[in-house]
Amino acid sequence: MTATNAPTITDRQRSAIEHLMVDYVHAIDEGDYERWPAFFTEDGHYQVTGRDNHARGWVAGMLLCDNRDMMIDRIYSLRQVNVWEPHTYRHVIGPTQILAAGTDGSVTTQTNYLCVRTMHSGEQKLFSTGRYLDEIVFEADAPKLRRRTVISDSNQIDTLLVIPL
Amino acid sequence: MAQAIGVRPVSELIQWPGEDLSRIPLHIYGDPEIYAWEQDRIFRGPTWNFLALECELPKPNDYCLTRVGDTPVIVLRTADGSINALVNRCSHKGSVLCYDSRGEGKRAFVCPYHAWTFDQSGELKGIAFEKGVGGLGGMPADFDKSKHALTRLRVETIEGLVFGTFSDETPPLQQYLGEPMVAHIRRTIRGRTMQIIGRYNHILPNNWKLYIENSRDTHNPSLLHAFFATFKLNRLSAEGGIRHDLRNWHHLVFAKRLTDQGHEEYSPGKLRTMKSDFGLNDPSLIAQWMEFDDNITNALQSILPGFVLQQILNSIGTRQIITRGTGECELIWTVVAFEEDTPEQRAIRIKQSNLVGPHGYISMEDGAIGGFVQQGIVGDRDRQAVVEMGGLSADGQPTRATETSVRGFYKAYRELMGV
Repeated sequence: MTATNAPTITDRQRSAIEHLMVDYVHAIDEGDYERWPAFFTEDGHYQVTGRDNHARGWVAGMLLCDNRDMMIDRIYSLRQVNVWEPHTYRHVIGPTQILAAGTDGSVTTQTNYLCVRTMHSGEQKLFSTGRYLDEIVFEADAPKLRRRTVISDSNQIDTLLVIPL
Repeated sequence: MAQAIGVRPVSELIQWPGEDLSRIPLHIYGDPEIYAWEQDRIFRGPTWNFLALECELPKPNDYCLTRVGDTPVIVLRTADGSINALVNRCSHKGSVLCYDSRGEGKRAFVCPYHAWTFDQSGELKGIAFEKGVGGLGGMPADFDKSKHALTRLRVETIEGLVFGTFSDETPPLQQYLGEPMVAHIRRTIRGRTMQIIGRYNHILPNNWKLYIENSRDTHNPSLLHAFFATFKLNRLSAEGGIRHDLRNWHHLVFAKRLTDQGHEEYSPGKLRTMKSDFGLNDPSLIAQWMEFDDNITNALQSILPGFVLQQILNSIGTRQIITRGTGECELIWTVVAFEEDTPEQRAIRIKQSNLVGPHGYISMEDGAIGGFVQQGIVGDRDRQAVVEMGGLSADGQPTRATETSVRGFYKAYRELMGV
């Protein structure tokens, strides 16, 4: 997949996609986790994987969800069930590159991210860098993620992964 | 001795408290001298260490890298198809020979530093400028290359799992494992052809022993891991138990989910982990098929020193502990499917990878809890942990409300360390 064929999307669509990217990371970074599933389509697919896993075609990623209900379950579990030391993320994202525009109206994009984790103690750590590989569709003009694969450059996860990237 | 150079004798470092196995001295989780002894007496001692899955080396001349404790190791399939394991350290200056985590077509190992060349058995075959240049320099005429081979581990496999040992004293693998452990490995893999579907490199903020204890702690899952108890996946009232080998070195804890008729100890409000209002919006996550005739739905098999074979519902996988100093370790999770699986079975395994790993619904707490202990004990190195649940011995028991397997680990630890 390359961008050399200059997929055509409207300026309005591009602007809406850019807004989606920014809104997504702000929802997570501000701890508004309940908003996370709504960025996806009903049958949206999400997972975090490592660059090496992705290259080898190993499909069992982390926080894997293949519909919005699974995402809602993850957030409920994060809030109510799992035990973890309080921490937050801060994502910095790069410009979104449009890779392809499908005949079904979907748009494939990639966006670099960098995520710093801050513990309740104040300790900060570079938690993950990588890229979002996304498939976006428009539902009533609103862009939704039909598929987001978070490809972390490192296969290592420090301590645990409970908040989605 | 490989690491315990210039450190005090282990008998001066550890005086085990008490006559039985019910106490663990807390300073063993943070002492670099003890750590050095552990490298020599445990990881390079008379133990079999998990190295790789055979399916990672499908063709002759494939290799991959791993570590045994701190020691870097090359695992390779030779041209004739057998598996060798060599310490990844050039016998010249000590550089690693391989620095790419895997590769193929590797018939010889050439050091990147001065091009010393080793064959697949670790024999030194060539030295650049061995005869010098223009009759000058070069190695002494009596330099004996056969005395400078790479350190080679003994290797044995069972059901596609590759193990290696540094010690000539280690008994053959199956004898080391013991009959109950061999039987359970065979029961879990059943001669099927493994395919890796995911790997998670999990950095744990704690001493390696705290993870091993946790994997053998049979009563914490229903207390720490709320997800498990809530969905009746592994409540202690389900039929289950513990099996050991004769030496109590290795341990298997298992449960049969569908035998669980509930117990009043799990009534809402009695335990934090019993949240009566937690229902999954998408229960397909815990859909499973009965894969084994014994009806066991959860089984964790810990092989000393740092290997776990896991079955959580239909999630089958391996866990390998790699040491990283006294206060950190790496847990490598590998989840597998089998070539013999139907597409539906494979999809279930992929979905159930949500249960394990650093993100696992029922395992992410393992990343946190070792760190909590490591944080808690830092000011009290003279104190002891108390492990008395289920008595003072390390025998197999028909209940999981016991710490017998933790005591079993320290029984083995003391035998190996000589303390």
